[in-house]
Amino acid sequence: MTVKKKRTRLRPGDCAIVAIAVSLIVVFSCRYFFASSGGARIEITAPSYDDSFSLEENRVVDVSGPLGITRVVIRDGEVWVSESPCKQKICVKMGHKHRVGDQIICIPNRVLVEIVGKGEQVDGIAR
Amino acid sequence: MYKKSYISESIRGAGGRRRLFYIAFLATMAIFLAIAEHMIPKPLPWMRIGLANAVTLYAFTILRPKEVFFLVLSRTVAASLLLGSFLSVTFVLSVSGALSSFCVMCLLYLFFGRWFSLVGISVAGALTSNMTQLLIVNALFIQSDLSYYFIPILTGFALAGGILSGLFGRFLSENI
Repeated sequence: MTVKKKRTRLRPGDCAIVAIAVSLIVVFSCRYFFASSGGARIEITAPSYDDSFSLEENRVVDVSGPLGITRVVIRDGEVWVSESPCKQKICVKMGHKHRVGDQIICIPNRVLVEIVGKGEQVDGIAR
Repeated sequence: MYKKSYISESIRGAGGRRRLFYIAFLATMAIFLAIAEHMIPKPLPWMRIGLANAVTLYAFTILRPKEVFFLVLSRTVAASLLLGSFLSVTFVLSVSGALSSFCVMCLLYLFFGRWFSLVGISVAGALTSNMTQLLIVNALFIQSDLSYYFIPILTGFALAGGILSGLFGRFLSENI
């Protein structure tokens, strides 16, 4: 059996392929980390409250639920719950959120804060 | 299209048994590697090195494209039969990945072989395989933009696994 041609050394095409792969990694991870909040909106839902705000403008929203007032802070492209009347304060501990699809939920006070993007359709499997 | 064959007899001709022997031998080797790789514990189920792909690479250097195609097809089906994933979701994904990466590697090897070594062809094949699987998962099972967040991770694994299996394929083609 005669081997056709031994391809031992690295060739230009190899570098090109590796470069393509690395650029794919860089481009898509950049998309993941930076471009997610453009044009995103924040939807706040409670039993007697339903409103949406832009992620860009800074403001403090007081949402009244069954237990009392949950204070939602929107600042510098981030959203978080600063005060809540609930017992365990899980919503406060969930911290600052900025990506499309992120949620802050307070079950005792029935408040849902959600960052929604344009044309985003996420189902239960993906989340 | 391709240069003069490297094992000279045709399958139907007098020495055809030798070619058949090579296809069967390489398929056995690929199945063994696929199952051995399946046994290795890994943090994520779809993290693979693709050692069976190294055998495909080696096969390109001694067999004709058509025979490599049969090799790829038979090793995917046989490995899935042995692992018990035949006709399951895993099987659909592995067949689609194997066939698409075969097409790309075949094109690269036949027409652009001057510019690529086996390592480059292997990385290209691994990339194609992973991206096809992602597309198919997205089209059939999940249907969400969110699965594109996996692209960097999958590409990283494809890069690492492709280089490893390419080196292994090169080792095979130099030493068998």
